Amino acid sequence: MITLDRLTKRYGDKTAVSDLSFEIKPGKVTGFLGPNGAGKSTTMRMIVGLDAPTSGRALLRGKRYEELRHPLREVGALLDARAGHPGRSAYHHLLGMARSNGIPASRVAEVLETVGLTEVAKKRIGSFSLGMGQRLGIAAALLGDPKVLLFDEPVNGLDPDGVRWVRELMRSLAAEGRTIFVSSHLMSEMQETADHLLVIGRGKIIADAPIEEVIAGSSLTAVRVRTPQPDVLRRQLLESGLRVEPGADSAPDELLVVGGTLEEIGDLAFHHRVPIHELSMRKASLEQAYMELTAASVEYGSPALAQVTEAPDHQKA
Amino acid sequence: MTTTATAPKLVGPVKGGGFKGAVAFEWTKFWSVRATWWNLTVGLLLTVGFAAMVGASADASAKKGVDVTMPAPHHASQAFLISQLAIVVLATLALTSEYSSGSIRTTLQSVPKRGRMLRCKTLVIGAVVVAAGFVFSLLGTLVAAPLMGEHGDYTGGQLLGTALGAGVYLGLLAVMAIGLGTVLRSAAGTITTLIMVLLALPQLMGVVGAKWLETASDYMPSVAGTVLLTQDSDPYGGGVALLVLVLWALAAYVAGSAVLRRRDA
Ligand SMILES: Nc1ncnc2c1ncn2[C@@H]1O[C@H](COP(=O)(O)OP(=O)(O)OP(=O)(O)O)[C@@H](O)[C@H]1O
Ligand SMILES: [Mg+2]
Repeated sequence: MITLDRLTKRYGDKTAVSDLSFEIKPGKVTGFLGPNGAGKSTTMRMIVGLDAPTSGRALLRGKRYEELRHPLREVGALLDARAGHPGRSAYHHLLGMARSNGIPASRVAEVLETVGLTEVAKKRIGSFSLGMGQRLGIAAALLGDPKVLLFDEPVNGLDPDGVRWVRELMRSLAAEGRTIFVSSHLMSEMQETADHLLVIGRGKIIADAPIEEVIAGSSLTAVRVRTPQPDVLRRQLLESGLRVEPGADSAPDELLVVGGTLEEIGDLAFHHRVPIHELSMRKASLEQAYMELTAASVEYGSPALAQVTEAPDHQKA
Repeated sequence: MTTTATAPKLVGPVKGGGFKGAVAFEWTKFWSVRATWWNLTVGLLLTVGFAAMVGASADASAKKGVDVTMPAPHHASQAFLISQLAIVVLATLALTSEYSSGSIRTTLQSVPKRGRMLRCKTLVIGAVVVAAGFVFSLLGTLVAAPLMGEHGDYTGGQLLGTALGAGVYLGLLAVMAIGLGTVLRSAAGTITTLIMVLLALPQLMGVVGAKWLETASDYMPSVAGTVLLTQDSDPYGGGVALLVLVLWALAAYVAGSAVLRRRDA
């Protein structure tokens, strides 16, 4: 369990993290999303005590990171930047960490095995590829068998096989009751990995909700209705306070209803004796939901981004 | 790459860590990079090499009227004028490479109590350097003395005294380098500053001609170091020399730990 209590970080006059209060609960994968520069890495660095908050606190089971007696046994963290001396071998990198926290040396070989680096254990870290470096970081995070794990963009640089492995690893770690806090820009990956989402923009919380709720909240999540009397149904739907959008141009009998459930709309049509030919849920993707949520807080965006958020994608279910 | 999607469990009692763990951590880090071995080797070769040169030229120096009547260990210890730089580089890199490589993040995640981290790092590096200085000095004298011929006499006390002085001087120099490195976080900046303080400044202060500058230059670390190496009593004795060096080291260390506590890693 990680508790962020009014966590704030300013660098000069730039506020990187602003008054963040949040609880990251055990037994779940909590996804940490937000545009570049939103403050994700800064928040994670503050949790492990590398950066001091300007105000507020980050607590781990009620304690500050510095107060943990064997920190690596309680919190494992893969941060975004390089974390090893290029001239040191992967084995010695982990061995030093193990010794610092009273972890038996035999554990080093175990975690190297878990991440698939056994063969290069004695190689210098400087010779590692990006993905191998990420694997070493994951091994370091797992070293102390901690209850809390932080991963800042863990799949960065991993091959497809590695990406799938990380997804399964996170799921299984969460299933064991651990607290998993993971940031990523890969929405399709997040959609399959995360249970809960914390979305921030410009250092502030934009959304804090279960992933289904975030997706359901998107304007692109809609109920699709096909009916021979679209005009009649539209009037009734509008009267009951729902938002109605026309369907695809090629399908004049189609309506897209935002904000209602299948049951509500089905019952309404039945009540007004409007025949229904199709009634189906069209779920937004996490990417679409995310784009809408953060559209206003993208700091370093490309000009084309706005169009992507506006164009509804009918293909995606 | 074969991986497993479940992490193995860590079983057994939770013990260790703390201060001892932090020392073991620093020890492991120190010996697992090549720079350590390089610098110790270079330090040894420079000490022995220059001691041999000083020894071999003792006769010629004597004929030119240079005073070579001092005991061989003191004579040979002139080599530390050069070889101390290898120790400065060794201690500086052990600290600044943590910042340049980003490993400081791993270090502070493993040992988040920053004061403890710096104490343990200083302890490990300091202890190794004291031992290295002692051994370098012994070997330097043993190589130089036979080359000095009739000038090569010394007593066991002088041999040990100089070796001890070398260990203490270099050890405190290493502490200075660690402290300054923690403040500056840059190898180039730290090494340049220390070369200025050790070699350039004492010379410059002497040539300006101002009396107070000359007096001040007596309290530069390399001057105090020479007193320790040669058991001299000019400009002051060993006790004062030790105090001067401890103050220099302490000042750098205190500054370093203040910065370490305050600044983000
Ligand atoms: N050491 C620092 N000094 C000054 N500003 C900083 C520092 N670290 C981060 N920042 C600023 O704080 C803000 C948040 O940065 P942070 O790295 O936390 O973002 P992020 O959400 O991790 O972004 P990304 O998705 O690109 O990794 C940015 O505007 C960044 O420029
Ligand atoms: Mg980041």
